[in-house]
Amino acid sequence: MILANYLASAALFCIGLYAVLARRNMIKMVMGLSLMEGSTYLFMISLSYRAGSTAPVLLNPPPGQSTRTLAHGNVADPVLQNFCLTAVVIGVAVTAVFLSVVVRIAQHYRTLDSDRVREMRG
Amino acid sequence: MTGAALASLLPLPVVLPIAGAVAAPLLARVSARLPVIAAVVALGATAAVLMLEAPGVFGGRVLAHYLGLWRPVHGKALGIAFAADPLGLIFALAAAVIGAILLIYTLSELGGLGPRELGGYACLFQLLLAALIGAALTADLFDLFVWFEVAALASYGLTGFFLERPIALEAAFKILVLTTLASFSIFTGAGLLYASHGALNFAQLQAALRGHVTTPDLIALGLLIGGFATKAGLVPFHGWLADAHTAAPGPVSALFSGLMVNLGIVAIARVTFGLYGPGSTPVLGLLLVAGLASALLGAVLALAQDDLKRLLAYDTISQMGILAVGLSTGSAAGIGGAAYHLVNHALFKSLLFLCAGAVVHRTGLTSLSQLGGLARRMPVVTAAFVIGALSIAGVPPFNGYVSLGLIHQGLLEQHEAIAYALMLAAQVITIAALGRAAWLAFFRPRAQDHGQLEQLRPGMLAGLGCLAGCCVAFGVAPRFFLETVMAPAAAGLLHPGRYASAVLSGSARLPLPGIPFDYAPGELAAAAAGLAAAGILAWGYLQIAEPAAVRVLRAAHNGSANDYAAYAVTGTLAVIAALSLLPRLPGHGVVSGGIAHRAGPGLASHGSGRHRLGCAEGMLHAFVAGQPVGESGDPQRLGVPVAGARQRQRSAGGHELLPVTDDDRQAARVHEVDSREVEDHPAACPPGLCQAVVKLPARDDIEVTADRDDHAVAPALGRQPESFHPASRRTGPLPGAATQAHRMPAYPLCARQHPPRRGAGRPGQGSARNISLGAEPAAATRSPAARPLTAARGRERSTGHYAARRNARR
Repeated sequence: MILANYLASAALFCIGLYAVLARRNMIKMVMGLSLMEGSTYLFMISLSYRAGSTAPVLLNPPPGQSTRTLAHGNVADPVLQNFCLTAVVIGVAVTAVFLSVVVRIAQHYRTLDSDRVREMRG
Repeated sequence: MTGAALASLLPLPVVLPIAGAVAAPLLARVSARLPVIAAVVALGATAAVLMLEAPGVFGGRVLAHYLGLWRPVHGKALGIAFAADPLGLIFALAAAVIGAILLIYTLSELGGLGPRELGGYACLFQLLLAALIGAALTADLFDLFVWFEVAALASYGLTGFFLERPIALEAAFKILVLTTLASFSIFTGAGLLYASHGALNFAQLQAALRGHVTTPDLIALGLLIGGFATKAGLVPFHGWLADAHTAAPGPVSALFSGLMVNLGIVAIARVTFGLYGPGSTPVLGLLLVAGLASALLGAVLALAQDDLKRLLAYDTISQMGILAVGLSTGSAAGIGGAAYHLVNHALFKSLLFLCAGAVVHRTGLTSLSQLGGLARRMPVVTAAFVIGALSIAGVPPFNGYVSLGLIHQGLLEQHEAIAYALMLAAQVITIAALGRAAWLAFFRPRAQDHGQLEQLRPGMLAGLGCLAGCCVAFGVAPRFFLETVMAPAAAGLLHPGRYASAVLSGSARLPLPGIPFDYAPGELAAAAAGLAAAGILAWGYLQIAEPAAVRVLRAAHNGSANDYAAYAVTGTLAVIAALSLLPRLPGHGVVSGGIAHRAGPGLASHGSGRHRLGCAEGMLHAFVAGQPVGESGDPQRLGVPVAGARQRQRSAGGHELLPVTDDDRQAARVHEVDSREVEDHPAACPPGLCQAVVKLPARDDIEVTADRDDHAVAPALGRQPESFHPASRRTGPLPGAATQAHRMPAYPLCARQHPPRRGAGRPGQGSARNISLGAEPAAATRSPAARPLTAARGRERSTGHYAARRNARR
């Protein structure tokens, strides 16, 4: 049921957004952003799905089918799945940078409360 | 070199800095300074390659290259395209040249750092520049997202580069939160567009979106605008900007402010003009509002700052707002001015940040209240700062005057008097802020002398000198730069169809508009009055306590990452809501493309811009003057008569009527209203006059957009217009055509005509041209004697693309 995917992705997105907007713990904010990221992946994968489609794997076709018949058959859109692959890689890098910054902040300020780390204002 | 060979060089400007970035940490093991020197060499080579492309691209050609030679087949592109259009090339060139200058400056100022630091610094610096150049040259939406992310990752590293400064960590956290949110926004927007149109290539998306924008497309547009506006630092997405600039070392702030934020503006321009076309969405109005808000808020907060670099950072927000306002005019002057201002801002803001960095580095002081009396101790830095401040202030002959004047001219052409007044107010506050900073930091006598300060090193002198020299050069030769560089940039945005067909088939040229510029007495007087007002304001601001309004604004910038994220999310939601709801409000229908006129009592036809017509039940007549020249697809097929062209189909005024292709290669006609097919009578096209009739329900507001900018296309395509159409040999006006419109059956409709709104043509070129348009468009704008070539070849052409959208008044 593809609608469930969209709903789940929207719910995940909102939970993540809530964490980013309302939680002051920086680790929780990073977790919220990761949740939002995951929800966009789910959204993209759901967008690429068509009713009854199979995975867009054209190599090594099963017996009785050729690559051509697979390509002309009903397969999910591989481009959006590639989107997600690229974004997963970028997301990992961003999360790593994120966490290293949070670790340095924690080391320096001895706190994870984003509200206590705001020297620059105005 | 041939076009194909030049185009095949396009990946090099991105590959070179990336190679330098990869090599930098390794080179640092040999010698600490080697990676930075290598970076200067790599960027110099990048600039040289880009300069090779420059003559062709600024001459109106768009060079396109498909990575891996995955060229488009049947107008569908699977490969990733790189395309150099004038605007992208300007930005890429600015990034390469100014990046190299900043690296030379770095070598001089921070050359004493250790190998690890300099290696990492050179790596991130080049990575960011490569991302900016890639984003400028790419013609693929997902690729744009990837470059956005590369730039973002590099900027995280550079913001937190001096990790021993705690505020750098704080700034890095804020930029991470906001830019990550922006990247989700762009990612989802690109995915939505792909899901509904199956294309990522700008050219294909442009063809898919032209004249047919659905609600998911508008949501995608909102997401893309929200994401890129975060990068550009437009209000309310600007929370990260001031902090990141304050914390970073001087050359990094200069890189961020001068180059990186421009990525957002260039991407917004691409999406707004290149993909969607400004006529089909209310996005230009949004840009105007956001731009004015940014210009004013940035200026006011800059005036209130005590930290020198923070002041400059808030001024960056203000300048980005000015760029957005320039884009929002949608006219050649305004967009050309925005492109000009983009380069100018890169120059003078880099210069100012380098000056601020030098001051902070030498005195160890950041706040204006502690600084003072530096003019005696640092005369070179003082001179450079003053040149930068005068450039921003728009004092002739410095560069800011030209670009600001053009943007103002664009606003006045669109009759945006209120926006013009607000822009002047923002300008006055900006000048006051910079004047106050210059006075407090450099000229104010200071009780305690600074003593002997460290001298500027040769590299720093060279950097400051180059940037200051460019500021003056771009100011004293405005006509040269306008003609050769900025007018093509404006043409690239105003003619997305040319860009698209060049990307897909590689043979279209951009028609180059002339952008007049003069030292008009009115504008000079305004600049002088602005200076005087700014002087009074700055003096007054030094005397009084902080006004309550400013205190409220500053309190809203409370430094909390949560709140800044909330501002950005609210802003994105507001943009989406405005984009998808505004067209549904009464009085906001759009008919885009083509020369359109209405028939009915009065028969007030018009030439360009948009008119809103209030219609009773009846018919809308649209005429295409001349034979339309399509925008999309293979230029060899443009203007080819559709099948059955020779058949007599319908007669009006006794002429043979021929159907003519429009962009969709259908007969020119209004075939769609509010995404619904409508009953129409196509193909009533005499050689010089084409007509479309649409039946409309009662009480509709119709907005008619006409585009006369495509007249120069036929000669530019290098084709004989006669060969388009055997019947169009006639060069003079059609016999009886002048009264053609009046002979149309008078339908009882269109009881009133609203006054021209935004985009309704230049003042003073109203009805006279409009009425004659239906008869002879060439004669209406230019005399045949003035354009012998065109006149001899045939009448000038107009686009005949019609798509009509309207909304019933509810």
